[in-house]
Amino acid sequence: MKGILGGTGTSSKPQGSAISGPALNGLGAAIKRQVQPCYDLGALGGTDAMRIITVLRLRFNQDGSVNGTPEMIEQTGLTSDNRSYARQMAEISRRAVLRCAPLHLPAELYKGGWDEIDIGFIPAQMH
Amino acid sequence: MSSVIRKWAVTALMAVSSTALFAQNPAAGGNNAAPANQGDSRRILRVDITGGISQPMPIAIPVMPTPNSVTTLAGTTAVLGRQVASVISNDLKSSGLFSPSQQASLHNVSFPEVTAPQYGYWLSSGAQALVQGFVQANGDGTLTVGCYLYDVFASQEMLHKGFVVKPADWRRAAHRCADAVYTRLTGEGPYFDSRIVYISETGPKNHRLKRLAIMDQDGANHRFLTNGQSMVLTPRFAPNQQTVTYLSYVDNAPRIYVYTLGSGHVRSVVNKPNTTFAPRFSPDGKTIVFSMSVAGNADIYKVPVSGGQATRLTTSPGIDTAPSFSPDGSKIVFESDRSGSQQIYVMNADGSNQNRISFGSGRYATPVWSPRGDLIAFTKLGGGFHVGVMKTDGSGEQILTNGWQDEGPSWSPNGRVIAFFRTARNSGHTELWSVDLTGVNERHIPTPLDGSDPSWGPLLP
Repeated sequence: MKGILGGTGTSSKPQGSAISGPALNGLGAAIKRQVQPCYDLGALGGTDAMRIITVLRLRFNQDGSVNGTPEMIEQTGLTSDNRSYARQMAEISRRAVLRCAPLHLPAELYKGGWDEIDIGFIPAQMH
Repeated sequence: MSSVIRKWAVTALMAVSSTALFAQNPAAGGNNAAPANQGDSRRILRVDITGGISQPMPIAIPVMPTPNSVTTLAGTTAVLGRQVASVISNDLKSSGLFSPSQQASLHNVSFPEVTAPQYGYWLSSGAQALVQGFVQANGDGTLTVGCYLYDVFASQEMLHKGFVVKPADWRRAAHRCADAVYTRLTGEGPYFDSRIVYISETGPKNHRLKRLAIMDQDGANHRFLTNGQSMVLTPRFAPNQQTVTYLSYVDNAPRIYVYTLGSGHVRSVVNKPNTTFAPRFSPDGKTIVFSMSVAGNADIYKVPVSGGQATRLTTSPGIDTAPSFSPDGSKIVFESDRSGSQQIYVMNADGSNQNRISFGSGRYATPVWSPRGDLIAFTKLGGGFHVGVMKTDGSGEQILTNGWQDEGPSWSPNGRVIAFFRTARNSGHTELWSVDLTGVNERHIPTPLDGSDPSWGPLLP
């Protein structure tokens, strides 16, 4: 079950969490801002690998460091042309998080907020 | 050029979503990291990172230690450890996809450290990947080159391999280590352990000495194969790399020949008085496809490598030439001026179903099918000569080079890089170059004299 949170309505608020929708959006923006510069596609930029979407599940310590090993929970967009890049795309995603950690995020939003998050890595077309 | 940073779109909306998590594992190692609201109702924040950057990967390749420095026919194992690391570094750098650290700035790796890297040091050096290894003399006159790749951020080994070679072949061990690293990090096939045959040129324009020459893909181990008594053109490697077919003007008569690398033996392929040219092997190495001129009309033929009857594949008036097989051997791409200007056509290997695939402005020549089967490289004529690629149906044309006169493409074994030759505008000097499929990473391939008509061989066995 997945949905885009628009910052309004109850769906934007984790059940059982006291974190508001706007706070959650702000948290998402902070995570994106910190991880984005480390998402370096390297050799795979511009190849068919750009169609592969990788989702990692990450657990964080309160100091912003990654707790344990990032787990790949989903990878989509695989075709016969880009299947050979699947492993590398997962590793590039993992490297992005490890490279930019520790993340600097609001301590009050840790529990039920960023103690455990999913990050979807979605390469886009070159401009 | 390798430092060019390509940026991908970062404009897409950040998506923050929640993913229902059922039967989720407790947070690992969580004294106080476990969320308060664990259970079936727990939702996990999802953040989407859309777009990213693409720049050469910082990689460290320190000097490879030896457990015991021993003198070999190629020098001491201590010196070889430095040289092997340099060749690996140059290979990876030449791909344009990696940015190796300066070797001199890296700390000396001890032999035990090869399998137990100091991740903290390498992390602080800025390297994302680390290649360590060793050079060891074996008792039987051979060398073992150990090759280890580590992910610095994850503190994890990504691969390890050992290559046993004669001391004289130490460069091959380095190329194979570089290939293993390149393949593991990029998902692409290897290509560094390969050779190029080409035409070495020297002398004035009206009296050029053109000799067949061979070298490693990085220009090392260069040697001349013919003495230049007869002009040699358009060499093409056989798939097994034991022979080369080319056009030569023996007694001023242009004919195609097959040259055997080990013995230097040369033999004619087609027993006809006609002019024959533009030879190329089939992927199984059993057939040569070529052009033959009969009464001023050049058509494409094929003939068994062992000789025998040539089979005519095209019959159109005009010049049909530059045939190149698809990697599965089922089709042939070629150039023809049957429409009034040089264009690219594809036909079945038996000559049936001939279709024009190039429709852009200008003329097209020397099409070559990629070893991956997905693209055709060509020379585009008009406003200079440029090397480009298109899909096998003619769509997706992309020009990769912008020199004054770039021509004669030849694919690397992995279909990711194209070798070609570039003629200087005023001096007429020719040089060998390569370009990758992005068109960003151009590399000059050094040759002792001028060079033209490169033919990149398959990966060495």
